[in-house]
Amino acid sequence: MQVDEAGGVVMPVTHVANFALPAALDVFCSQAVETMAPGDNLVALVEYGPAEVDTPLFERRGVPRRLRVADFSPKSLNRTLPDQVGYQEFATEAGRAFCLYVVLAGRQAIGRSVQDVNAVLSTLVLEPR
Amino acid sequence: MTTTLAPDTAATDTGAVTPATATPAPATRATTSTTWTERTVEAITRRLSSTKLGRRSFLTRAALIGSALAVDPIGFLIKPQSAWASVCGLENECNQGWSAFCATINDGANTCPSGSYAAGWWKIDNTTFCSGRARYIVDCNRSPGASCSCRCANGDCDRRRVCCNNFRYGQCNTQVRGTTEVVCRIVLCTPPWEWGNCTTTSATSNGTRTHWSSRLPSRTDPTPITVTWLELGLTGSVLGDMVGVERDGLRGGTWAVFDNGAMGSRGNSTHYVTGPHGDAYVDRSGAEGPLGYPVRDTTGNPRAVRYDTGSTYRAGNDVWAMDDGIDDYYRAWGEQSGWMGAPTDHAGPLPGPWRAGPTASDWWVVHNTDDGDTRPMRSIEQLDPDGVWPKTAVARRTAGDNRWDTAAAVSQETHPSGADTVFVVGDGRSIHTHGVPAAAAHLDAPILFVRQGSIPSETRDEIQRLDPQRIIAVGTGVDINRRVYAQLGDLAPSVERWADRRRIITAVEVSRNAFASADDVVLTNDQSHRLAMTSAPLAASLSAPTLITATSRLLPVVAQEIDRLGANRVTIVGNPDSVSNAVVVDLEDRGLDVRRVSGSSDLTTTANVYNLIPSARIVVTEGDAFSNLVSAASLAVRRPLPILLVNENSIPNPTDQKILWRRPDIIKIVGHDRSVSHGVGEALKGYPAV
Repeated sequence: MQVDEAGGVVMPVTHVANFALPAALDVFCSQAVETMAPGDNLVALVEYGPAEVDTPLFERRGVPRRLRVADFSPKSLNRTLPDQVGYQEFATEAGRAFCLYVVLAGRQAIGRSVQDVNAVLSTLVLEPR
Repeated sequence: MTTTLAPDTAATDTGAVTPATATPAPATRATTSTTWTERTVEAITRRLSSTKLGRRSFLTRAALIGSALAVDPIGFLIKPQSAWASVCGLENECNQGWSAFCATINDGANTCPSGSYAAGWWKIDNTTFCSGRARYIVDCNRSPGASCSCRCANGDCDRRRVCCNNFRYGQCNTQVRGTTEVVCRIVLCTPPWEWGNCTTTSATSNGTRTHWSSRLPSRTDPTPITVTWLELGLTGSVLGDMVGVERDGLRGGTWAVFDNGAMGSRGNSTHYVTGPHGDAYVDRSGAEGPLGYPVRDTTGNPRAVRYDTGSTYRAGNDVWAMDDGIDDYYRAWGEQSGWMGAPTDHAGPLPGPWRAGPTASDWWVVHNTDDGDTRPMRSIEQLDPDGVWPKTAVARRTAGDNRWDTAAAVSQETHPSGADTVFVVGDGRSIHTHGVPAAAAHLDAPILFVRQGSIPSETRDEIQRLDPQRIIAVGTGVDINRRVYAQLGDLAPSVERWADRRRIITAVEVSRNAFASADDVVLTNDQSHRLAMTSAPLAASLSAPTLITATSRLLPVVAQEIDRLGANRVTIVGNPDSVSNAVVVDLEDRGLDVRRVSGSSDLTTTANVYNLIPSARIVVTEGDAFSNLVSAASLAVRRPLPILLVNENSIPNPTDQKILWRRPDIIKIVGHDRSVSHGVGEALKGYPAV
């Protein structure tokens, strides 16, 4: 964890994508999503601090490992761009608070994209600090 | 879809590096030099204004182009985009996916609109707007249970999305479950965890550096007042909208007026004041006036608000200002709760070097800007335009730690070299002292107190210092028992007791023993010890004894004493309720000249007695304490000096008027500050003196 000058705590973030991500990437990849082409997938797993653990927003037990096509919506995006759908969920796992955010580009092949994302999520191992 | 931004870590708020000489002057600073920016604005405005424009249109366009140059000069100059687009930054259109600023959709208010709540935040590093520190963006999401529909904002240039993106950053108000649509976003320089119910979990999105709204202040070089106002919510703040522009204050600061108050900024201190105090601050010219700058943020209507050179005070439905030395003095004396009471107007200048603030007590706090001194003054009529302080009364207090000590202190003042005779009275069990002060004046004797069953050390020490030949104990065994009487015998060669169980006859005894004869007699009611004491100086001035009577009739023993004295005039002190007209008739029937000094109360009667004793000095004491009255009378009969009565914490109107009329040069206070407060002592110093 890093603490910035003002006291903000920079928590770990994992970004997984099947397209090239830029070196300078913000937490929810709000600029990188501009470059997504149909079939591109982006997964961001963002950890939050101890203050968020087990709060009502993070009350779900366990980060989802298996998503359905119906879980995605063009409204569920930090930044709404054409032909993209998103998914966001807050959860507590291993005593740690997380936000899972997924962006898929290209609605034609969304079933395949969800399978690819689930494949990645199935490998996810979160352990207590 | 690409952007042309420089790398986040190197970018400035303007999105590009500008030449050093291109830094625009702060918006509020007038400058006579012509900057690069100004010259460019002028040239471009002329170029764009090929059609003929009125003056107002020209100014509007010039301002807009100036803003565009300030926030995105390169982009504005080299790209085919409108000035508005440069103001609002990149990705300002609805289809570019971002949420709008609250200021755009909320009539300029940088606050979460009704039906939304702060749901999360991100930051943009190294921003000019926040003096090189991070700028924070807080998302306002729809509150659960509230409703809104997705739309595009219709700002001048911020046409981003409203209530569309179902997304949450998640660091604020995590007690709220779930994710709802982002209604809009607000801007802060204060970290969100210090601003509201947010955590420190940090998220950075430097790609949004240029995002802005035309309803937000200029993104470059904001003043501390602008930033503070922004964080309060701009038009949605407790201050409301800004009236006019930020202006220069005294000593290098600035200030601004708002619909509901004002804000001042100097050095690292920026604070606002609202409500009635804000109105008073503006009324006193804000930071251009005598109050200077607010020293803390204030809302509501507290008793007092501080500024760096003054205060504003609540006074009933009004708020009045005291400044500089005036305020220092007023605060030192307890403000509204002190002896002066609340202000009754703003402090202000008088002719010459004077400033003065009026108070509810009718005293003024007067400050001399020449010598820096501040004093309380009962009247400002005598202030000299040349700055010479008018003469005021000198107030001196004679008091000890207790009643015996105070009596001893008076004795030391009246008889510094000792006394042949000393009166000793009880300390208040039964009151037989009515005639004692007049007799003490006649015999040149001080008056001291004993307990019924013992001689206090203060009294014993003073008797030993006085080294008297004779001690006169006035009072029965109820006041001074046999043991004490015997102990007094160890302190003087002669001890005698003058007393009767009836106080009227005790007074006769005192008169009979002290006065061989007298032309005058002072007569008061036997129940009014207070009038007997305050009229004692009158008796002393007439070389008269004080006798007392029942209200309705003159006892034969009193009439016989008046006959014995050979008196030809009786001064009755008290109104007919205390000494009836039947007594007057009886005295007149005996061939005596009778005059009455009276008032509607003991207080006013005392004030009228005052008229009969010509002196440039007076004695003041509190009128409820038996021992203070006796000691005051003991001091006053010496010269003699008139006695006036005060309350512990105030000067009653009859007393005030008499002091104003007489203008004494010395006022002697008898009694500890528990009976005559320090505040009253200070007030007495403020009377004009002859």
